[in-house]
Amino acid sequence: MKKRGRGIASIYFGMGNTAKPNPSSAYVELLEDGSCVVRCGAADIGQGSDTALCQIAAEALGISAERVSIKSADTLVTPEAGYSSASRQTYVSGNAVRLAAEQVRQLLLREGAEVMEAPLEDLTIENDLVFVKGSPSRSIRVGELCQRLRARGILTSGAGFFNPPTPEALDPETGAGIPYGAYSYATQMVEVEVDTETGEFEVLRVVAAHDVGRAVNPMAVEAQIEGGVIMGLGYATMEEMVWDDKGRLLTPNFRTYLIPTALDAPPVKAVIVEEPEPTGPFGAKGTGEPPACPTAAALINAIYDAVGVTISSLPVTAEKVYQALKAKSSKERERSLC
Amino acid sequence: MSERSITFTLNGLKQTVRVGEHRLLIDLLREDLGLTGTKRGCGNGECGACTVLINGDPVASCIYPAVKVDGRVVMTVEGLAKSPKDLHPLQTWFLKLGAVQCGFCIPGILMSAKGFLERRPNPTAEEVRQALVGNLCRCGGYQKIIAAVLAAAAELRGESLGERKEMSGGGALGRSLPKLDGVPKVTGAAQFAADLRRPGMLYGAMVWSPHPHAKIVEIDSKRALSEEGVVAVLTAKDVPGPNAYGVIVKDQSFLAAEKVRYVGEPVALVIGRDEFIARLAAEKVRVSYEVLPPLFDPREAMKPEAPKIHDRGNILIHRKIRKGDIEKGFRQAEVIVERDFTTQTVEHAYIEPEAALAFWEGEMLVVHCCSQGPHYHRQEIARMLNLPISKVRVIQATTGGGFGGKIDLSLQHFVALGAFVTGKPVKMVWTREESFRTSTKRHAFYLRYRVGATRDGRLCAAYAEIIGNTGAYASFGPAVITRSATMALGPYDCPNVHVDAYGVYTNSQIAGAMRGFGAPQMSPCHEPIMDEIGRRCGLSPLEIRRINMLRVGSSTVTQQVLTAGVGALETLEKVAAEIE
Repeated sequence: MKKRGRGIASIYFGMGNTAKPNPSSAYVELLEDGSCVVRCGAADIGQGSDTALCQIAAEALGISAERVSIKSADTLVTPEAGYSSASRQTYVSGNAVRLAAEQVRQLLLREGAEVMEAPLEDLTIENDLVFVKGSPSRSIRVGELCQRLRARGILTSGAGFFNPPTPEALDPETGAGIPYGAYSYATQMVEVEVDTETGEFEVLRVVAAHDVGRAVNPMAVEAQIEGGVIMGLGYATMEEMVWDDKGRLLTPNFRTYLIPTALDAPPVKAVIVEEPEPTGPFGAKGTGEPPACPTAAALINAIYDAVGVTISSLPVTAEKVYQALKAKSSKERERSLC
Repeated sequence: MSERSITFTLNGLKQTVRVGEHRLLIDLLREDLGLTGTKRGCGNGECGACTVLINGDPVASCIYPAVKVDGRVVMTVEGLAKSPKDLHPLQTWFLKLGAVQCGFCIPGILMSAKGFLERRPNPTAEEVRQALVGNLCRCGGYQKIIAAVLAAAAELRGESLGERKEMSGGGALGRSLPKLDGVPKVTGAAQFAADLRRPGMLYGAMVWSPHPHAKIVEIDSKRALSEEGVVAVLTAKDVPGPNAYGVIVKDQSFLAAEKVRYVGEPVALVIGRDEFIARLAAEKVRVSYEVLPPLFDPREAMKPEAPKIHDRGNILIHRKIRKGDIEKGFRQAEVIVERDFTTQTVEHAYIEPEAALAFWEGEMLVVHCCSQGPHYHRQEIARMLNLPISKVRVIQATTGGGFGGKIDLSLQHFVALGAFVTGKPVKMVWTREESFRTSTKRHAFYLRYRVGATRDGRLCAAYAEIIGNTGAYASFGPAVITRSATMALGPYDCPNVHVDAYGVYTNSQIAGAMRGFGAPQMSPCHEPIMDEIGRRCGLSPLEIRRINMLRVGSSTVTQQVLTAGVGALETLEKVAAEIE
């Protein structure tokens, strides 16, 4: 008989290195045609930090993201931005880029106030134009302001530096302290169908709701969530490095170490929750790691929901489910005999 | 080795080349013809990154003899677009729908999809899934790839398609922009480290330890050095600076000096004229060992009487969390749930194996490599070579996934040492086997939990003992163990918490950073406990979480009071809406 079940699991995840300073820095240079170059040491390893950092610079400057280019992760050219780990680049380097861009924004606003003879606080920048709030007809192009500043010997560049707020060392005896400046949160649901005879199971779908503070690039956030869930399912159901008793690896290739293929990947519905993080750039926090964290737990709860057994080791295999079902039915038989 | 002349059509142009009988198609394309868009992810025909079309059919070029394309038509990813401005619909839709992340698997997937759509122009999603089963992707989870193939198929059939809906309009933020670095990743132009080359480039190959725990008695390089084309055999003695590195604890040798602590530990580096020569010579380096008893189980290794793997003892870190009064908490508890749980070791399995190239540019030593942290790599390399940090430049090449596995040094320091000693460019690319055998792994854990709640479902006490196998060297171990402790209870408020988290050295492969960093191992323990407490209190999984979840004003296990930006309940309610 096949039985279906649904399980949920929630996690939280601290952004950045635990209880340690982990600063980032970035340079932003606005050019005379109103386009912009960002330099930042953050390594894009596929997660999309290059694109996200350009979007953050563009947002801070009020220009379109297409006008921003980035040079990242070259130690001679880009300032240090720590590792691309701990889900920290959007949060930490994103703030460094934002702060660098805001220095340039201030230059533009001050110059704009002078040119337009308007109070500084009434000005804003959107769509590549500096204008008086509420009357967009009075405007001047960002590139033009940049040229005017340059003509006066002022270069439109900024350097941003950010370290997550208040991470403090944990007390060695109690662990008390503030290990992270911000947390992201997630809940996932796994729906599974279990064969009660054989223990074989199939994951039918996953719903993954992630609080990312603010989605800098929703499509990239979804891609991180979908990829993380499938990595989490690989962890939950099939992946295992195995060594013999002499420490020799028995799973040295993709024939023996299995990771999910297109046929192993169920539909994943990514749900983006935006609870703004006050210390994040425009409210954003990281999304890299959390998607891989709750999936195995939700699967274990789903299997319990379907057939009433809790698996106590990873990976969850059909054999383990079968053994657990067998143990459960023999226990029930014993109970009915006494 | 005999050579043959073959004539074939490559991306629309007729070619005649001389090729050895045993030359693989991937090497003909990448090495002889410079078409590096075709990627080698495994060398065994198992990952699909090397897929090209031969007479329209997808083929794994890494196991395909080059001579067999004689008289045939070959298409690689470089032949897909007319120009970078005039992309094939598959390439356009892969970018538009966010199917491209690191990009290493993409050329192979594009070719499989192209071959498939030629035969089946109007496929279902299920048929696309079937067609792509031989192409592994580790970043993306396939969903966006399948959607992109379907969208491209529709465009190729002349059907019009809707655009993606935006979440919020206006500024640059909240827009689903295609990747800014996307186009080179779909045309094959992106330069991953294995695609780089320099004139006069030498090649490095490693000598690995076959033992999990042993003393090195002698390294005899004579036979290897006498091989034609071998330039140098480097050992610990050739490291100019301190022979110690590590991201948190400098407990790892660049090349093992006295002792090896896991199978696959680098012992010597052979530099040769090409890869074949270097790898063959590496097998001729004789290392004699005095074998020591290995320890693989951290629960054994942490006992006081266990043999010491490192002089300072086998417990790398003991992280304590003490919040409230745990005994009082359990006295209050009306429901107590216990759970023992174990997790396995897993591998990042990025599709791009590690690769690096080092060369001199004037006074500057340049290392161009896969990396998750070029500034960290620079610092370690400068220290190893006694160079000012300013005289080392680390450039991250396009990197084919990392997930934590490309933060530690893998082979960046070896090419740097090779170039430092020989003065010539030195390149290394790991095979899939080398990558699996030597890169860091996700920690395996032994967990023992005891959690108490009052009858209304409110948590009042949580005890956890966490033992992580950190393997032979520290890597990120102390940080992973600390994060596992801070994440041990999940996103719940509990006044009384007692956690002991240990990271223990063993003779297993090194465990380090991997996506989640200690958190994916805790949740399969704490979440079934939450469900079980709920059942005993008559509460659903949603209800038990609603009661205990962190919110503004809650105190975490480290007694941090949360002040803002806590979306935990909102994620729960979003999932609840999908269930109910």
